Amino acid sequence: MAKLLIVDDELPINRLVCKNLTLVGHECIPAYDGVQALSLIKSEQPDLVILDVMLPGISGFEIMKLLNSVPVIFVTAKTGLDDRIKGLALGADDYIVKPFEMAELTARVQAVLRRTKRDASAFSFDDITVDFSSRNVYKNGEHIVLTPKEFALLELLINNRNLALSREKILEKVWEYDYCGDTRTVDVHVQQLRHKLGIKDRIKTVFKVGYRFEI
Amino acid sequence: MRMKFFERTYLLTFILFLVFLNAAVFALAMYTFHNNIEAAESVCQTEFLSITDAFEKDYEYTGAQSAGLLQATYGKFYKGKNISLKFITDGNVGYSSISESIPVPAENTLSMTRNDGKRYIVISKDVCEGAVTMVYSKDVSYLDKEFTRLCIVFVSGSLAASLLLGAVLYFVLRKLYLPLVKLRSATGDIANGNFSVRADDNGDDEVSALARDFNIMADKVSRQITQLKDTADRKQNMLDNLAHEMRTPLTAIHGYAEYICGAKIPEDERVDAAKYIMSESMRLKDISEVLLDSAFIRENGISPKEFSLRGFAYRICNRLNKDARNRGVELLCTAEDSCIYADEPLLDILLSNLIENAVKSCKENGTVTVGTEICGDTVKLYVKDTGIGMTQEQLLHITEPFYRTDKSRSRAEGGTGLGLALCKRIAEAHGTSLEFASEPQKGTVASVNFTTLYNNLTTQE
Repeated sequence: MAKLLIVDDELPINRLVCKNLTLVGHECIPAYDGVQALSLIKSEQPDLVILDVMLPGISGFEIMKLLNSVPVIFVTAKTGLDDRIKGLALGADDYIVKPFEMAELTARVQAVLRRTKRDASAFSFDDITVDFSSRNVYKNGEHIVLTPKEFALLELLINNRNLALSREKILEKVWEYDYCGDTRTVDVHVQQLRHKLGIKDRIKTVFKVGYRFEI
Repeated sequence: MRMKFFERTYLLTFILFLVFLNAAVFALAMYTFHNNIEAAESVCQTEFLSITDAFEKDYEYTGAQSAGLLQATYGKFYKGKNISLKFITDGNVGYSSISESIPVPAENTLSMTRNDGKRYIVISKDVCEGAVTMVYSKDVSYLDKEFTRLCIVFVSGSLAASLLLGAVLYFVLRKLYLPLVKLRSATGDIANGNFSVRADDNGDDEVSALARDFNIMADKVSRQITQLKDTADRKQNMLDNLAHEMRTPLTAIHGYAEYICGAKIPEDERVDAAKYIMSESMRLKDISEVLLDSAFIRENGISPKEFSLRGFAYRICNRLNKDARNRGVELLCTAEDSCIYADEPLLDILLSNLIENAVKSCKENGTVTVGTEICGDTVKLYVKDTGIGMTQEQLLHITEPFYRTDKSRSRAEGGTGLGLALCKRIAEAHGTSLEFASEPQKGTVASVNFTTLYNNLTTQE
């Protein structure tokens, strides 16, 4: 959906982030140091840069100073506030602290892409079209009525497609913190969604984990 | 505070000066006035004496019959000379040009009298064998006028002098206080945290001495603050690095586990992910071991005992020989036999680390030599390599935690970035230091000195 530049000097982490974000439908370009990152930003024109602060050579903050129009999510290992404030003051769109969960990263990537309008406003699969801006779903051009929670659940599953989401994670992301019910609620809503859209084989139940939207 | 002191000195000096000046002027005025009065009195007495002498002679000549005429003649004559006379014969006043209100003084005495706002000198004397009492009076009001004039001159003089002094004193004091004011402004700046400011300490008076002492104090304080800042910075840096080094493998482990758990991926990727989890957890294990060793030394110190350096060095070389050969590096041991006092397990960590670093720095066909140099009571243990070497800049930092001369290579080989920091701590715990000599592209020599005498071992907490 979007072209992302992943800047991290740690090979395992860089590859991990690339793999996950590729699975959910983005195009990922890895960069392992500041100099490489700067030249790739120029030549590839990515929609978003995921930038580690502690880089050999040029630090992440230095790179951020040189960027002007590219959205940046910076990754820091420091728990102190200083780094976060510094990064946000330099114009970063968001930050994430190591160690992080992949669902957290995909959510933030999606949020920034949507905010900066670099993401497609609709997603289509099979005979279904999901319009994220008007929050409507169409099946064969016919409007399907979903409750707000059902739509949020569908959106979360699509944004994390090919990755399994635990029921707890879904509860946290869709119902946020105002709900303290049990995970059965999630099962009920998933059933509703499968039934309304007729996508039983798309939303898979992953044994002992949760649900995964496959495409 | 500064101006208060200045003002106090200025006002006090000025007031003291005014008091003494005016007292002196007043005393001078009074003295002059009294002098003038005395002079006038003596003039009057002389005058009166000559008048009475003349009158006695004339009285003798004319006799008592025409005394009234004589008195009038004298009175009128002297009135023209501004002298009033009065003649009293047997209690009856004869001729008189003296006002009745002026009292007649006792016989043969002089008195000063005021009448109608005027000042008179009055003298009485019995003449002609007591037949006549002659009273002399002279208007000396000019004395008062002169006194007033004198007062005006003195007061205006002292006023002018005071004003002039006030101005001059102000500037002189300002100039005297200038070093103090400057010192005060410098101290103020330093108190506000600007440690680059120094007071002007030229000169040899007390203020300059104070400024010099103050500058010394400021130097010391600023040095200490810089030191504290450096230490705090280093600690913060170390903490940040540690957080990064621990969180990075954690992120990878968690991420790959999540990936295996939830992503729809083929078998080979699953294996790759599992391998990353294993290697990253080894990295965490290495870091935690080094940190534990380090903490152990800090908490427990070292327990040195005597052992043979030769056997020890050969054992370690044998252990590491295989790794070296795999890289095409020759590991030689030329250690001579000598006994040293040291903590053997810790020294094992130190020497292994140095050898591993040396082997890693070598290209194929390189040589690493472990040897000793005995000099009196000390034994120098060194590890020499023919590797890529280091620049002076890199040498300064190599014992800092998490410093890597080549980050990507070190990571790829599983280095924690803490090895030399631990070696340095071990050397320091033995009361000695780790030394490096290196030249880029030529190689590096790492050395550490040990004592052969138990007494010389100074352990460091």
